[in-house]
Amino acid sequence: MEANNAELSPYHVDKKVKKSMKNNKYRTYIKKLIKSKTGIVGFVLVLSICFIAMLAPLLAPYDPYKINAAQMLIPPVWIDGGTSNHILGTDNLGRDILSRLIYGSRISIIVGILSVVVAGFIGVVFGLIAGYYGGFIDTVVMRLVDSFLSVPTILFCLVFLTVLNPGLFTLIFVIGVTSWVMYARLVRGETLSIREREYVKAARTIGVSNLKIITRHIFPNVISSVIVISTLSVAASIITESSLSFLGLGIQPPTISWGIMLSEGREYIATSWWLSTFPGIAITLTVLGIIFLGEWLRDVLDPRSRGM
Amino acid sequence: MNKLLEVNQLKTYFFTDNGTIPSVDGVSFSIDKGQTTAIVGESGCGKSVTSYSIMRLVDSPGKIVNGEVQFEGKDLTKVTEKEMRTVRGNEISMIFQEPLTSLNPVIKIGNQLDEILILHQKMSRIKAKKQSIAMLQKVGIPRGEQIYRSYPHELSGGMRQRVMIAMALSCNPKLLIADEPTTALDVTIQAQILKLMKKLTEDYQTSILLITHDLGVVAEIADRVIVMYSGQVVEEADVFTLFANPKHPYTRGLLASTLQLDEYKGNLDTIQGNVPSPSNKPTGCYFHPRCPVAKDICRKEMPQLKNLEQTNNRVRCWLFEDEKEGLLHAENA
Amino acid sequence: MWKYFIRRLLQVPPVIFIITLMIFGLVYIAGDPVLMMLPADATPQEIQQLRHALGFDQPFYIQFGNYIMDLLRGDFGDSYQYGEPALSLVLERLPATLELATASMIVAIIIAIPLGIWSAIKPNTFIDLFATGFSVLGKAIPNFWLGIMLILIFAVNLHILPVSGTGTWWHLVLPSITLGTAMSAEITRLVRSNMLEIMSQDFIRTARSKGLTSFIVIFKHAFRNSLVPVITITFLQAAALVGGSLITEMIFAWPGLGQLIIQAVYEKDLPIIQAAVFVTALMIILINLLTDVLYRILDPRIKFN
Repeated sequence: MEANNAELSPYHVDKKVKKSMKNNKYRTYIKKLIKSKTGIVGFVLVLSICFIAMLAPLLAPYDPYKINAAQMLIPPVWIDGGTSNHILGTDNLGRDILSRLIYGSRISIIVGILSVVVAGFIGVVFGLIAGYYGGFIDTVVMRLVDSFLSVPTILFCLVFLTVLNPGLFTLIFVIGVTSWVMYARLVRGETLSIREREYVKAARTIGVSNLKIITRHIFPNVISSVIVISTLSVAASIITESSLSFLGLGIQPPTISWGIMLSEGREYIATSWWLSTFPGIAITLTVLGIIFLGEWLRDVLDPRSRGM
Repeated sequence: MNKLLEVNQLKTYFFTDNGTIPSVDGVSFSIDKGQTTAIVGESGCGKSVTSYSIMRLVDSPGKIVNGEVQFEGKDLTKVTEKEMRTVRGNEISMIFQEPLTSLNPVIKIGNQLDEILILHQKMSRIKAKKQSIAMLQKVGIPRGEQIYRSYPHELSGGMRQRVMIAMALSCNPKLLIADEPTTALDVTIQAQILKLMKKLTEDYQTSILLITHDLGVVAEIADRVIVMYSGQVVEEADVFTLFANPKHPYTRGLLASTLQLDEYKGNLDTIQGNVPSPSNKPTGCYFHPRCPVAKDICRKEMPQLKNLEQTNNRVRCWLFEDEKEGLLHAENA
Repeated sequence: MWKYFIRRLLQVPPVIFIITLMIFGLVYIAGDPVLMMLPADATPQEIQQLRHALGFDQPFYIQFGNYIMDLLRGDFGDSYQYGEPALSLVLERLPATLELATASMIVAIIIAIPLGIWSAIKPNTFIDLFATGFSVLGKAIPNFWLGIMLILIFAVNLHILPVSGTGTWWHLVLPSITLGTAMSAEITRLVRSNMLEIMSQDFIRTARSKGLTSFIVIFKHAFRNSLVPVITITFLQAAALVGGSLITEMIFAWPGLGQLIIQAVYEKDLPIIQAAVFVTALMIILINLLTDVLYRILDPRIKFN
């Protein structure tokens, strides 16, 4: 019966096909959504941290700098002795930990993003020049890259911090300058292959200037991979920032950084675990969110590397 | 009975995210001892999956859901994995389409040959080495000693396929499954490899199950031919009958499209359309949308695979069903 | 092979030159250390004299040339803190760091390889989820926090491992887990993706069609193929390992190079920092060079060109 109907009425078939196509599309859409579960988690995490950082004064229940000698080392609310006034407890100076965590997100976000901007800028410029011009310039840049790669980033930062005065901008500069190498290698590689494409060759033969070729034809083609590794390296920068601040060489108190909170809390590890636990969870969640977001972006923007 | 292998109502389905795909959809056939049987069909017809099902090498999400594979009194779909391992490489062995990728790139040829002998024949390393080099010589590799110590990437495609044959035959199996063994090779090498397979299997009394889409290869070495379409057997006949008097319209189309140009004046015949998507098969006979002689009943009901009168040959087509019976079926539906 | 090796070797001197330039430039930017060497009440004349005696009043390239000459004799200058040659201080601390790094690498491999293989041969199961989770978390958790949490759990609360210091094998456990986790996460991810790819290769089907057990198929035929990238990445992680050891050593009071460096940064002890950076870079360059050569020896398919 079904088959007969289908034959007699083409309209019927059309509708059915359409319906099944729509169903298919809908199903694959849902599947993609489910597949990038981690992408959604990452997106939500990163977005909320950015909001927390921006709205810190509104969200923080207390002044994060306010010392209160009467309320030192109060444990979190769910532990005996905790109060609902200080949900995550207070530190050794009686400051509210939740408020400090909220304010601490600002440094992580600022340093994370700005240092990546610095690194990305240096790296992309070097990469484009080395890849496009090749020859001696390329060799020099590559040896420079090799040199930077043979010193661990954190050690490199320490070297700079020995001679520079610590502070927010020093930190951004230092992390940026020591981590541009990744971008340079990536961009150089892509530039080398894009340079050989027909339209670039054509542009060169009709006398388009090198600068124009680089900015108009090559740069747009490397943006998506640069965005992908930028996202992932924000995570690395945040870890580096907190490590340096933890060592007392990055952000200086009284400015709040999760790394500083950790190093202060470490002194009280035997008695007050919450001091050093929560900042670490904050760092981990932030970094996790960024990694998830970055991997999702890589799947979307750079399908070649899918599944890696 | 001198039946070596009997496949009965074999069904292998793939359970993917996009639904169930019946790659092998109720396939039955048998192979006699010493016989060379070819399964032909376009890519995607389920011929390779059939052969992997026999070896139980179908990977997840694929699964044998029904049927039996009788081999030497055992149903291979039911035996334990351990028992199956004593069959693989020993009693049934396999060679594959891509000699480039079918050998392990980081293990020396000799080691790859030895391990099968050590495993199944319980040979010592020294004895296995001797045997392996002898096998290499048997498959026409003159410098066996040297090849024994080589890595696969140092050999040509034809040489590698010879190595594969040596490996497959080294335990003197009863059945050799050859999955498109010559497709990736040059034409001149193809002929050599086919000749070699033919000669060796005659020497060793090995049956061959040849999986191919190339009717030229079939004509060269097969005794019987099974034609598969969309997961089903549509025709089975001895090679002479099949070439001289093909029954199923699909077989006729296949033959016409592979006829050599100088024999065939006029337009080159091809089969219109494509193999139906296995997840979305047509109603009735799966071939009817492409069939030049399709009738009403073909669109509604699947024909049975029937023995033709007085022969072992079988065909699945309404053209060869009893006219009356066919009509009756149609009315009942 | 030799040709490749020599060409690769020729890339080393420029890199060392650039690193030397950078660590020298550091001192140059920092200003001369004469003020630090003299007592606070030194007269300008005394300062000038010492500056001249040490050559700090000469142009950049001459100072740099002198610096290189000193380096060639292994002289990085004396530590401001200890008054001893910086290089020998650095080399004294190196064995402890290498011990910790080796232990971490072993921990990383012991966790990563079985986990990576297991998750690859059982995709979409609990173990696979666990391995994937581990490889992401291991990257996200800052190692200094991990160290503190491990101390909190195993030393402070459970009292089964020492808080810090050296002396017994037990002292090595927490620092090497702290340092090895990130590396382990990376190797797990690599082994998993590599094995997943290899398990779908034709030669694995061949191996299975020969009747080999899954154990032999997995370890002899599949894992051997992913061994080369795994070894490569493991060694290339050396730089990250040295970086991570800085903070790990500080947290666990491990008397290695990291502790020396961080102390030197606090004290602005430039000769030690220069010597430490130089030695570290040299080690990493050598490891990379060896890895590169090893990679080509291990994989018969790679031709030297």
